[in-house]
Amino acid sequence: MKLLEARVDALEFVLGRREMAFLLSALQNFPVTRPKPPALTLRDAPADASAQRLLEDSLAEHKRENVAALRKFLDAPGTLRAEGSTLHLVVPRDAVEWLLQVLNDLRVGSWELLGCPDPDVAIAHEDTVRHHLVMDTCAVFEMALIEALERPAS
Amino acid sequence: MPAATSSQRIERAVAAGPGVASPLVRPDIEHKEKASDKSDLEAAWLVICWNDPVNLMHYVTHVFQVVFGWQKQKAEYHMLQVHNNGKSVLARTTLEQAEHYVHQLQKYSLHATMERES
Repeated sequence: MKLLEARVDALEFVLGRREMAFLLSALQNFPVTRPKPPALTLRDAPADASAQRLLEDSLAEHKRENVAALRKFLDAPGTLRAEGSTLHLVVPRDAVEWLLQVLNDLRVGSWELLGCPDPDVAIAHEDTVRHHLVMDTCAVFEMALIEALERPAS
Repeated sequence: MPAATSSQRIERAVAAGPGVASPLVRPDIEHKEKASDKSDLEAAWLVICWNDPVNLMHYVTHVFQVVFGWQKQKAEYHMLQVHNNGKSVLARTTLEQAEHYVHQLQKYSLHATMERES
């Protein structure tokens, strides 16, 4: 995945067909159902129950909004297009933050489903390859988006 | 039973009418002390980000910049604190603001919590 152009309104990337397949496959797993609920405080200092519930409700609602945004993004005619042997991905600048949240939800959620292992250890079981692939794919695209944001707009 | 506040004592003194010795000594000074205490209590919540092996360092820096509006240098400083020390206190603020920050950080799947300052 290479940045083709950092425009004022959007970031345009060029991807190989395999990269695009990995990305779309990873995105299909969103949202991840986390094994552990998010906590407002550490476990030894439990938060007020209503504040904790507010956090869980807020995150659940936010995830629903991101699901809708992701669907709209992938269905939009200008998002993906083929040019010769390459594929172009156009990410509007106002989509970057929620897309980063989606990618990192997939990365962290997959990691939690694996039991929170050291990411550098060898894959223990073949049936966990899918989660590792999602984690690594999301990391690549997170980095590409963040690096693209740091480029001056043309 | 909690001690009466300044305003409660003023109300009692007014209700008692003239001729009653007023317990209100230097009310303006007392008001200032109360206001200061309240402000300290309200700001006594810490927003903490904890280290984990899964969030990327560049990603964490980016999120700090977005959520707190920090320059990259300050965001990197706190990211490195998280990485090297296991945690970083990102803000000392009111209960409501601390909740807001934790919500924002968790929307990015960072391991962030809030604690009352001890």
